[in-house]
Amino acid sequence: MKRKKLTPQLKFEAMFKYITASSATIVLIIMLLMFIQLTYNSRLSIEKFGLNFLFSSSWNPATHEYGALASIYGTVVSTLIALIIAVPMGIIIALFLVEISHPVVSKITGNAIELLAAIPSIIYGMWGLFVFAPFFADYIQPFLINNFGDIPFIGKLFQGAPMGIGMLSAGIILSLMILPFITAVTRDVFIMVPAVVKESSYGMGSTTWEVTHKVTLRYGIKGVIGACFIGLGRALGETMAVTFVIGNSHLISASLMDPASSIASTLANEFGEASEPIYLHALMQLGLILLLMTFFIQILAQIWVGKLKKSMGTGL
Amino acid sequence: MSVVSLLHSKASIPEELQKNEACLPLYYEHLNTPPKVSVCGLDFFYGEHQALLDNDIDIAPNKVTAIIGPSGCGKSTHLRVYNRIFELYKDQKAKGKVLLDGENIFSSKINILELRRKVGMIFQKPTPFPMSVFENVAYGLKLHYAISKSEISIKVEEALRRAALWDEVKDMLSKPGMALSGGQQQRLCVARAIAVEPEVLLMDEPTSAIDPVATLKIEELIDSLKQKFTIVIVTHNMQQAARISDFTAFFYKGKIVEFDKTKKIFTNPAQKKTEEYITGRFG
Ligand SMILES: Nc1ncnc2c1ncn2[C@@H]1O[C@H](COP(=O)(O)OP(=O)(O)O)[C@@H](O)[C@H]1O
Ligand SMILES: [Mg+2]
Repeated sequence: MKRKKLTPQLKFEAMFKYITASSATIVLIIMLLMFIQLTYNSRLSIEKFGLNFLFSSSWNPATHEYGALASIYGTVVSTLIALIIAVPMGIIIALFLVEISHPVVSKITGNAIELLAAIPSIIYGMWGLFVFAPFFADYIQPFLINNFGDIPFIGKLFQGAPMGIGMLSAGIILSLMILPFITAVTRDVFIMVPAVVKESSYGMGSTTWEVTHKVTLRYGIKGVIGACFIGLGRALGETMAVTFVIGNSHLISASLMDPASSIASTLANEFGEASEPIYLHALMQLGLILLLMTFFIQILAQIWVGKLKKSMGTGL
Repeated sequence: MSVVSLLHSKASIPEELQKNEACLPLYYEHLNTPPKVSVCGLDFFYGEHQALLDNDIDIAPNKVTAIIGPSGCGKSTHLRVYNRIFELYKDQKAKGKVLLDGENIFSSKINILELRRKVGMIFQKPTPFPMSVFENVAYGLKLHYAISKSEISIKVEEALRRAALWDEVKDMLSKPGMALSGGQQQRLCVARAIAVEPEVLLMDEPTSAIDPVATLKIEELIDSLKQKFTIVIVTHNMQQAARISDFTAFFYKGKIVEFDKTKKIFTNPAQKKTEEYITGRFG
């Protein structure tokens, strides 16, 4: 038998390693450059406001007083609302698709959910502004305001006029946008849990609910948390949909009915009008804050998953 | 009539059992207690494919019954009927009767969660849950008993001791169950299963995924467990069946070809097929 010369393979192997390594390095370099660029381009604002930028909620282009607090607050709260709605719902839908519904139903619904994830965010924004907001203002908000507005403490969240747009609307639209993602990943995690693990849980005399929240969910917790954090990342930075429905006000209000602004919506709205260097630099600094927030949240996620692994030895 | 029914004379069946419904429980001539589990005319289907044909077998209480046979002959399928775990899959169907203490497990009066507490199962691969060693053993206790934290601790220790694992894990109860070695994980699963005080333990090739030393430990464990539990074990390993079981059933192509005392099966089988199998001529 004639033997093949193996030298070309070895060369290819070396090249392949080189290509993969350099692609990975490029990603790191791009991230670093972004950070440097954003910091450099926000230097005027950093010099002028210092740490105060983080804690001031004034945003006044006329007097050139800038503070990020209102935008940070809006970003965090709208994202929290989105997660509070989308995480439990995503997990429940995934559970239904994997454990309960007929395989044909699962397949069709599963595909529909993946399609939802592919809808561009501008569509969500337009739908939110023209369809969801009027409906919300006419039916849901009056209900919330009338029924919860007078309760001590939490009533503060539900006061004001039913305008349709505002913090809560932005949170709900965001939740719809990240729901398909969380559902799809959680479903895949549930599917990957070995049948024999579920069987041994059922075999102990557990109900479907017990199997799911005590075993299946824990088994795949790494994947589910990963999905939630990617959803979180998307919600944090989501621009178009939020800009349409959040109301774009720089006032911090306790009520979720009131208009607000997020970092991304402020950037989208105000770059065009930012003529003064200090205005531009303040916006750049907002961008820098968003980048750092996303970065630290991902690190937190890693630490959390690592801790979980130590205490329960998750499977996936 | 199956081989089993021919083996045992009906004369020795106590009167109370003879009255029992349509299906006459089969009985061992030398035992004075009724069978723990009695299977009558069991057929099993995976969709259209019939995997078990007319299985009849009696499982003696506080004994080890081994199920042997070539791979794919239906051993696991048979075992998975006893705790109705196959019902998780919509295309799987069982026909016939399985009596646990004389009561049909398919009867509508049976609470499936209670049945699965009474009939515990150990799988081929160790399946520790993603939680600590302690929580693994406490898992079933919390499902089935309303007991205090301190009682749970006592029960967990008791189960781990009975599973011959206590000394090895007592200092690492809060470590994840998955951090144990394969053999330890399997004994952890045994501890988890016996913590809820079942009556029957089903084991599906419990030692085929672990090393010889760990296997020996499990075998010793099985021997000590039969004081308290009725054990049905599927095994691929004929030496193991000969070593640890009191009765052996030989399965072939979904049928129970021969069922008798282990000694008889391995020294003087009545069926030619059984002899061929135990002498290693196929399988
Ligand atoms: N989930 C399943 N779906 C369809 N057929 C199956 C399934 N599991 C087992 N079978 C079939 O049933 C028969 C018995 O299988 P099994 O009980 O697993 O055998 P054993 O445990 O003796 O090796 C085999 O022919 C196998 O192909
Ligand atoms: Mg098997």
